[in-house]
Amino acid sequence: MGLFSKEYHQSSDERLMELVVRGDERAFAALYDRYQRRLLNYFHRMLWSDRETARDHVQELFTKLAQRPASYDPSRPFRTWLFSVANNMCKNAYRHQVVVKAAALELRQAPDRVDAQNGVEVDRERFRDRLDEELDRLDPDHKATFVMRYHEDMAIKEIAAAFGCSEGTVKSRLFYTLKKLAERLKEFDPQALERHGKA
Amino acid sequence: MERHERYDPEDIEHLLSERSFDALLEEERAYVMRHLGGREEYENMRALLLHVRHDEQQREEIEGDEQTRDRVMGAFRAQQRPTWRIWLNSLASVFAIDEHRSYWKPALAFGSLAALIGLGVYLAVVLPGKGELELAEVRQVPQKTVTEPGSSKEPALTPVTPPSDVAAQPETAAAPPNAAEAADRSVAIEHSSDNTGEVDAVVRNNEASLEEESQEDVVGAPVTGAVATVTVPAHAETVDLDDVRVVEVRELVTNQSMSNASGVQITKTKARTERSKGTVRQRSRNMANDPEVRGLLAQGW
Repeated sequence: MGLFSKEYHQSSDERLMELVVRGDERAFAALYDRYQRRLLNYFHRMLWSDRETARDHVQELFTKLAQRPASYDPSRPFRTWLFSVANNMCKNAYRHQVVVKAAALELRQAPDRVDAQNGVEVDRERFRDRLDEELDRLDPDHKATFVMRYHEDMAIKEIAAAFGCSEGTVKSRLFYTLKKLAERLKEFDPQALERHGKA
Repeated sequence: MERHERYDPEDIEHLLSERSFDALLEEERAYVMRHLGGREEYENMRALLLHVRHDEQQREEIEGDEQTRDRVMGAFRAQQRPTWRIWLNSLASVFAIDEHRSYWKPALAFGSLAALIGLGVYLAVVLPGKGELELAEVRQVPQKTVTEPGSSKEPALTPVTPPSDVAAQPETAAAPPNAAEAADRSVAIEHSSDNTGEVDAVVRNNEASLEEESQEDVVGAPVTGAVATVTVPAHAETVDLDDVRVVEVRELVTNQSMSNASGVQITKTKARTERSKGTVRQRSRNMANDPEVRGLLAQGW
């Protein structure tokens, strides 16, 4: 039995997925509206900040969900399952875009670091570019863990469920990713970064 | 006893978020120093973590477009649209159904199959019988029937003559042997459809009257058919019953194609006795002598 329009937005993800499996179009639309923006930004962060690629992946993910809703495992939280699917799609994209990724890294290494090395003022945009550049150099699982933790603000437990690993593994990945990034971005004045972060 | 600490970097993440290196307690500082190189590394990680968290919140989020939404919803609708192909493709799942929600597809398939089988049986069994009935109605020859209700002298057999010569027929048949037995008889006269020169006279008797006749027949010969047909050449001005050939039911059974070719029509075969040739001729002559019958025939023509 279907739900009223208001109840679709109040229902849990898992309840909506039950309705989607039964062919409820409004439940599917509610799930799409709930997650398309987050997934779009996740793909944007994971796939070289390419908006069109991110949109294509969002469309592909929800098309898969529309065509095979029974592939969802009801025993798992929908959110973590959805991000695990998204993460697998990103891995596939990495495999097919090795050449593109290498070319993108070459382009990003071009800017000079004179201002940062002087430690005068941290340019926010430049720091973002450098951060994205270093994230692209990371292992895909480490990068995805970092993005889920600090961009999607997911809990350690949720990330572990999305990857199908233990919480200790997620903590270890986060620690070494943070340590590695801090080392690679040490040309930026830590005090200036901290002040910028508090601002 | 040496204390084994659990490796838990998230604890350091918590410390990085909350306190600077100088604000750490002695135990916390010792814990940090076991996993990090020193104060500088701790401060770098702390600055990065704070900035990343702040920066992620400040990042401009991109929005989805309506076209993507329309495409996705279109894919969902297309998937939910039932197709007749599924009942063929899902035959395998009938034997290995893994999910209860898949039951409706085999049910639909078998329902469709049952409907097709039912339709096929209907077409194979019911319609052919109906077609035979319609064929019998088509073959029934339109005929003029002259019946005199209430007449006690209605003849059993009627000699057939061309309409213009009816009045000129003096005596071609004898009167009916029993007037009462002819009360329910009807006389049918018809021309053959091709009009090639033969006039057929069809005498139809109902079952009841034939049963009576079979009991009162003078000859007493058993009759198996209720129809006696007299074929008369059309060119003859006067019907000569000596030239009339009576086709018996037995002959029609043995060679029906021959009877069809000669224009003989069988209208009804329900009697249980058979009539002999002599009886038929005698009754035809009797009817020819009956002026009332001749008058009715003249009016009919």
